[in-house]
Amino acid sequence: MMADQEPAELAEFRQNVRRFIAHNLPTSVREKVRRGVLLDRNEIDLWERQLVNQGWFAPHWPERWGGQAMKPLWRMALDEELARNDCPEASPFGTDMVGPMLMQFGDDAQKQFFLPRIVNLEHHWCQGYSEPNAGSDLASLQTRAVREGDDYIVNGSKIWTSGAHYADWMFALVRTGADGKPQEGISFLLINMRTPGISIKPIIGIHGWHLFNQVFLDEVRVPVAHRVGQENMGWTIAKSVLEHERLKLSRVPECHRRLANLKTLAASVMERGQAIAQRDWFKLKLAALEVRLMALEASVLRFRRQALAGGRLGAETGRLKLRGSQLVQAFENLTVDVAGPSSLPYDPAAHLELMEDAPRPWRVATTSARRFMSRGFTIAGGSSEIQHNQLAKQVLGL
Amino acid sequence: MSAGHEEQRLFQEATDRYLQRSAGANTTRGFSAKRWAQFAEMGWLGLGLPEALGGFLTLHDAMLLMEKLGAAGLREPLMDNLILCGQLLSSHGNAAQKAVCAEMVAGKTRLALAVAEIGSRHDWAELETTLDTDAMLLSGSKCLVACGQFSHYLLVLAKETDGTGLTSIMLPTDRAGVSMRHYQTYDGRDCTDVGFDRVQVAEGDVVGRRAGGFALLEQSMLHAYVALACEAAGAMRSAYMLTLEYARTRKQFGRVLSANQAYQHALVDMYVAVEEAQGLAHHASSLLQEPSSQMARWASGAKAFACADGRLLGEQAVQLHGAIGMTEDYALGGFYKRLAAIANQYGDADWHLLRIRELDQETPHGE
Repeated sequence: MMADQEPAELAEFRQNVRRFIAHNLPTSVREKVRRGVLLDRNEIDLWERQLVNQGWFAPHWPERWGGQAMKPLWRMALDEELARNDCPEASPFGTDMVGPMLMQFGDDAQKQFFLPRIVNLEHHWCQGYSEPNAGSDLASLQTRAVREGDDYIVNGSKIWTSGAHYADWMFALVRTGADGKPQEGISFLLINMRTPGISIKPIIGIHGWHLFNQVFLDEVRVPVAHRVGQENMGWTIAKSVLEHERLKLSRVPECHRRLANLKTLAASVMERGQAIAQRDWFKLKLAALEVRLMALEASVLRFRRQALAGGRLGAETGRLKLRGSQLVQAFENLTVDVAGPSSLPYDPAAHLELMEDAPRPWRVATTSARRFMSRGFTIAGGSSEIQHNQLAKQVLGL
Repeated sequence: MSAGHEEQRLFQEATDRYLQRSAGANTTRGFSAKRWAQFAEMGWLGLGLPEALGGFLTLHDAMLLMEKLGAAGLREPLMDNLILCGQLLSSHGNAAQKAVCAEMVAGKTRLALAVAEIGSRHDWAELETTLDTDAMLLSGSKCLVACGQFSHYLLVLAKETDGTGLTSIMLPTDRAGVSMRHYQTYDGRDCTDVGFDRVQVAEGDVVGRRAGGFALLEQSMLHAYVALACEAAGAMRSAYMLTLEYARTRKQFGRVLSANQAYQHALVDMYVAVEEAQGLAHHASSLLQEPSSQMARWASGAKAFACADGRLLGEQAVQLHGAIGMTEDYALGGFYKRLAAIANQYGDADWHLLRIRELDQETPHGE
């Protein structure tokens, strides 16, 4: 990452992070992340615990809730170093989404029960927003919560729920009112995934991996005490996005990781007696992607200066999400093209282990799955179409 | 002529009826012996092969069948059997090899082309597999052979150790010294890596003449490029149709997706790409009938377009669907993955673009 105008303490902090990673990240895990092999739940848990012990699992949280009130710039630097150095990606649902939302909108009992259990990893969370008929148009969601005494009775279904199969809790948007605009009848509930009436159906992606689920809620009883904020105020809560999250959406660090991987691969695959890395067609394609990455980095840097000068980051950062997700996809396609016919073999098992001794096609078998997974980056978390709409409306004023 | 057209029309109608009946199987994985028997019954396996071997119609009809296969998402190795091996054996094989070809047409025997090697990438003629010129022992390995476990014969390309050239050889898969390792590709095709450990070859196993394999395979490769361009055109159309249908029915923000101008423009771009891909593939196919200097240019052009625009169309189809397009159970994924695979099979887009420039140097303009 370009690092102009960084205070000396920040550069030093980056050094500390790199030292910590060198000491604590197992080589096998690092290698898996580097190559895009799926990690098992245990490996992610162990790594997240290391971060907890170091105080870097939720460092931006206030000290009274177990954080160290780390400033956004420091948190960005931490995220960058973790990603650049092949650390497993920590789940954002607890520390970056439901946790901060509870701090802002939760009552004392909710804060005291949930926040410590997020920060010490006792609870894993999943996000219950999308529904079969409410994706980009989230406000049209239909899962209904009807008040019955001190409980809500919830019926409906959530979809594309990442990690629902190992989550303890789900934060969900549900419909509690039918009047007014669709956004106005939505409430924010915390649902224990062990409650009777909840069932989970795995959804296998085109990459062959089980990452998504559909969650069915059939007469699920949720205490009113687990509603966050006022009834019908859920939309406002869900819209609150952390500022540092906005720059993270650029995916700059993971593009650097992909760039490094691609260079290594290109140096090892031969074509007409030359390494692909030496072929003219490849040099031009790689340089074109590097320039796109430089443009993205320059943008991140500009936004960071803005934040450093005390400015707020708003809708204009949407272009980082738009371009970053597309750039990842371009890196993935070029990687597949360098692997060439060797990218074609597929074996689900090949994604679960490193295959050092395997014949070459099998060693690059994960390239294709990673590429297919990256197609989701322009769909999830605000699709490219939604980014275009928001930039048009909020930045261009159209 | 008109009798030929009538035969062609009847064949195409029967094919469409069959594919409609088996619709819903459009995300198939792997080889089905049951379907293969049905293919034989309908005469698919003789398309473009001589009548004496049980064949009928033309190579162009076989290419049109590849397009239908792509549109239906079937994964059986028709290209290997009737277009690659079938054409090779019927044109250049000895009497015994032609008899094997006739058995293939009848559905009793299956063939697989074993040319590709890990090290050769897209340059298929850059081989490591060798045929010991004097002892006639075959050594080396081949990869991504279609359906090795369901095939009875392999058509192998190897280089003579005396440096005289490449020789093509037909071998039964159970010949001593042949080893196989089976797997599937991500687009659901059964494939095999094959090893040859000093496999004894007889003169009668050679297809064509010794050291004459390059010219034979050069022709087969043109067939492969066009066959894959046709298959891609079919897969593109199916991916486009699914997307069009989805955009017309899926409602968001109170209206169908297709009511958005951004969607309409994207769908129009897809439509144009499908038509162009089909036009290119059909024209390239028609040129194969009568060899000309333009044939290789069109074959690589059609394949380059299929690689680049086919994959892009698949990606756009997923994007316009949203998350549902990312799921294994929905039919679109099968078409997108096939298009992605074709983009790296038998030459990628850049390889074919460079090939077109190389052809220009070999054959100056105006023939």
